[in-house]
Amino acid sequence: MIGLLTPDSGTVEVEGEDLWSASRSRRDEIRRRFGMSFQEGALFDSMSVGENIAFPLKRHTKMTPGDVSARVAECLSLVKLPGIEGKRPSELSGGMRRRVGFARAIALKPEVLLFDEPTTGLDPITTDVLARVMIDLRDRMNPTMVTITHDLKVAFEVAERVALLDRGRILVDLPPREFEASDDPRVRAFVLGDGSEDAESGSPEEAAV
Amino acid sequence: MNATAKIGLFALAVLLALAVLVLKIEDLPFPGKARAASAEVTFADVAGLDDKSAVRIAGVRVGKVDGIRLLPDGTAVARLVFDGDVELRDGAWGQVKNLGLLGDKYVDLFAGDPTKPRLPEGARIPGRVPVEFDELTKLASEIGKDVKELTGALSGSLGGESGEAKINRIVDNVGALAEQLKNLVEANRQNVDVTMANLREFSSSIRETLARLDRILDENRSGVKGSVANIEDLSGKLKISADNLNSITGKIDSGEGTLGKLVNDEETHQNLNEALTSIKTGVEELRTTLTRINRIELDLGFYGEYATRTEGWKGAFRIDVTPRENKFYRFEVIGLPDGRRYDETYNYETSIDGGPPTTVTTTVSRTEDAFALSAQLGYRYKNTTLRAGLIESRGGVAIDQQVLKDRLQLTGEAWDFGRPYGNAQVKLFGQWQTRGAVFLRGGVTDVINPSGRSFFFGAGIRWKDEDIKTLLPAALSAF
Amino acid sequence: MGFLEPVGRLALDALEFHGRCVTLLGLTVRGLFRKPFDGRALATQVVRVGFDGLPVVLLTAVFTGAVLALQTYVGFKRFHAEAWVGSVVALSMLRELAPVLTGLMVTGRSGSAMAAEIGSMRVTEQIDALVSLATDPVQYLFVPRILAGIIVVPMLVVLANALGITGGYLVAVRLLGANPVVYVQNTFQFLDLNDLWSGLVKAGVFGFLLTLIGCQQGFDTTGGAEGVGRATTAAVVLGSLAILVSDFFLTKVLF
Repeated sequence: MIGLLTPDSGTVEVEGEDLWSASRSRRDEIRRRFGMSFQEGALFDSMSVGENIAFPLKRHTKMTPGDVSARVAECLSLVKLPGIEGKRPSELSGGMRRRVGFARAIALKPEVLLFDEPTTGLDPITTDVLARVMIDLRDRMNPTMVTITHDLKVAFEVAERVALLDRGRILVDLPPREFEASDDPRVRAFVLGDGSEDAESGSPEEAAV
Repeated sequence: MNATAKIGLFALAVLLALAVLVLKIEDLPFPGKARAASAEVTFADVAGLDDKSAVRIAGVRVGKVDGIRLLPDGTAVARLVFDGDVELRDGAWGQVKNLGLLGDKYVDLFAGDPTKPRLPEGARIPGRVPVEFDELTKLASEIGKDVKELTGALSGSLGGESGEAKINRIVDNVGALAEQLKNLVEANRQNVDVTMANLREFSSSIRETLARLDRILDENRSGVKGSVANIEDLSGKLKISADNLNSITGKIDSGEGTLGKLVNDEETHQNLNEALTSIKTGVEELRTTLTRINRIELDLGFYGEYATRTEGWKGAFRIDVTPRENKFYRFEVIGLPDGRRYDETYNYETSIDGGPPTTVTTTVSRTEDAFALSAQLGYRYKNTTLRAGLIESRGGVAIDQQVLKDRLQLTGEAWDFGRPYGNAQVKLFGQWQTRGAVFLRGGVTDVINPSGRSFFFGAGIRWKDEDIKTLLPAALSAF
Repeated sequence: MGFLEPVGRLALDALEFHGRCVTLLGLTVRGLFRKPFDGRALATQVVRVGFDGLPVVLLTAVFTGAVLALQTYVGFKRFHAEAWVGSVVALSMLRELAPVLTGLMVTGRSGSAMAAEIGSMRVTEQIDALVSLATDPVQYLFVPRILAGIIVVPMLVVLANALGITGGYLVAVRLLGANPVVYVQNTFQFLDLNDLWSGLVKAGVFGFLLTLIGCQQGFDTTGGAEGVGRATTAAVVLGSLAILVSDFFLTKVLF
């Protein structure tokens, strides 16, 4: 959605502007309005946690060092991890790393937050903590949030709308309750985890908005 | 240490090393440091002198060559830059010399007459052409030719004006040869100087003898004019002059070896005797010699020997000249592992105007330094070769026995019989010729001196005739 | 026609490699002139490649000089040219050995490290994270590294020159008994400043090549931890090859 990969076909439009026909610097400007969190956090392991979160601030704003560290602390408290600026990413658990990733994504106060598989491979308790952090972020900052997940529980908990993606197409796009109650066979297969019904549909993904 | 300090340290070290390297390589002119004195030398031939070669006065390094360029008239100019203040005076000149056998070339400067006025900064002084080995060969052969022509003229005209002119030419040539040879070898071998001195004695002796010969010839002329009865007397006197000539050539031949071989053409010696008894044979011999020389063969080689006792390497460069199948001349320049110094006494005889022979004794300090010369005459009969002449700058003889279809050669050499400390050098060794140009050798050296006896082994390369002939066209054209 | 396939693939791979290098080089050059210029990252790389690489480069240089002196001495002694050992050591160090060996050592040390670092950033999505943070990864990662390579390798070579000559001197004078004054004199007598400069130009080119290849291999890593290993190996192999091949052409052009 922010153009990590050049699209094979089709266009990506942000507020009516085609990302891939825009100039490079314009594309970076558009990207600055997005915050993205990666599956494993994708923290820069050559830097400390604080430096990771400060990275976009230093590169894209003219904030003073004092303002930067204040914003870093604020972001960390938003993800419920205050005071770990000095730690190295390698010292953190998987869940903490993702939350630091969240913190880095929100540092520039983006209008749109993208989450790529925020809970994949985590235990249910950590998943729950993360879901709550996401809800909290949504309530406090009120951005547009797009979460890609296979975890229906998280989707239903966090999302206002749920869409099912299959081979690059949106199959259905419904509020959580209607999605759950939908009798579309492909949605049913996904909700019930019954592979027999739709074996060749590959691995549909769910998008929560 | 933080990153900035590390970079600072690193950069400082690099700048320091760079500064040292640059200053060492290029003598950058520092402000305040006086500009170095310079001079220019013109050469007809710089003989491979390179930029930045050393400049020496009396062997002491005083500067270096700073650029060589060609002048429109085809001569070369080398600019010399001196390290300190060098006083060049009127009459200064330079020449290109070699340091060692394979060493680098350098400019040898003669600073000029100290009583003369100083030359200005950057003055241009003449350079002399270094003596080449092939020029020596050429000169030696010219002398040989002259001697032949003399004998022809002598026999033909019994002492006309032309005979006399030729005699003078021989004498001049011998003198010139001695001078050139001296120039060539003075850097390496002081002892040759002594030989040179001896040779000069000989040439003066020749001159004296020739003066006598002249008188005899004058007498003869009147004798022929006067009376047939004088014929017996004439032939008697002719015999005397022939004997005189024989003794001269004999002296050159045996005269301290080094020159004997260079000056003397063995055949000429024989021809001289023959020509005096038969005019025709002399002329014919001359003719055959000239044709034969076109078939001359030249072999080139070098080898190294490692002696176990001294743990030193001896290296040698060899030229074999084979004018006839069973006869060859061998010249070697040998680098010896260690030099020695000792005194030696020379005796030589001279007689002035038929007076009683006088013996003159000279003692000189000789340096047997890093280089020695060998010059030998060899005869091969079937599988046996006999060699005689100079071996490592000393008189000696050698015998080579070829076995196994010439692949293996067994050699015994003996030389330096008058060695002041110890017995003569005797060397026994075998040499295996591989199928290619390479040969391997090994044996015992200094066999009859327990203190010097040592095993040695070595290897070398021998190039046969064809290619080499083109390398030394000058030497061949001299014939 | 089966045998043609691997040949074709090889050719395509080679073309792709060169294409990638040229593309990334273009991006790097553009990144060089685009803000922000990250001086701190450059300083970090200079310390990592240069300062931390000093021990291995200098040890190599000392022993190369020493071995060179030892070997040429043995050879030259056979025809009584021992005096020229110093010249040979200095000339070969300055013109050839110091740049090439330093280049190879830095490739092994830093080129591979760059490939490994950038490669693992690639497989842990850190490079995607850079893009998502509106940061050009080529500019952010390549520019300081390649600049550091171009600056630092010639600096290392200057020190390697000095140490190599010192190594040769120690062996010749202390071990083989050469005359120290004559040795030093002969060492510098035939040297030209051009010998020094051309060696440093070479070193700059080597520094550029080895860092570009190291970064490119890391940047184009695919396939997880195994891919990082492959990228590291390829960075060393291709970097060394690039140095040796370019050395030949540089030598032809520079002398």
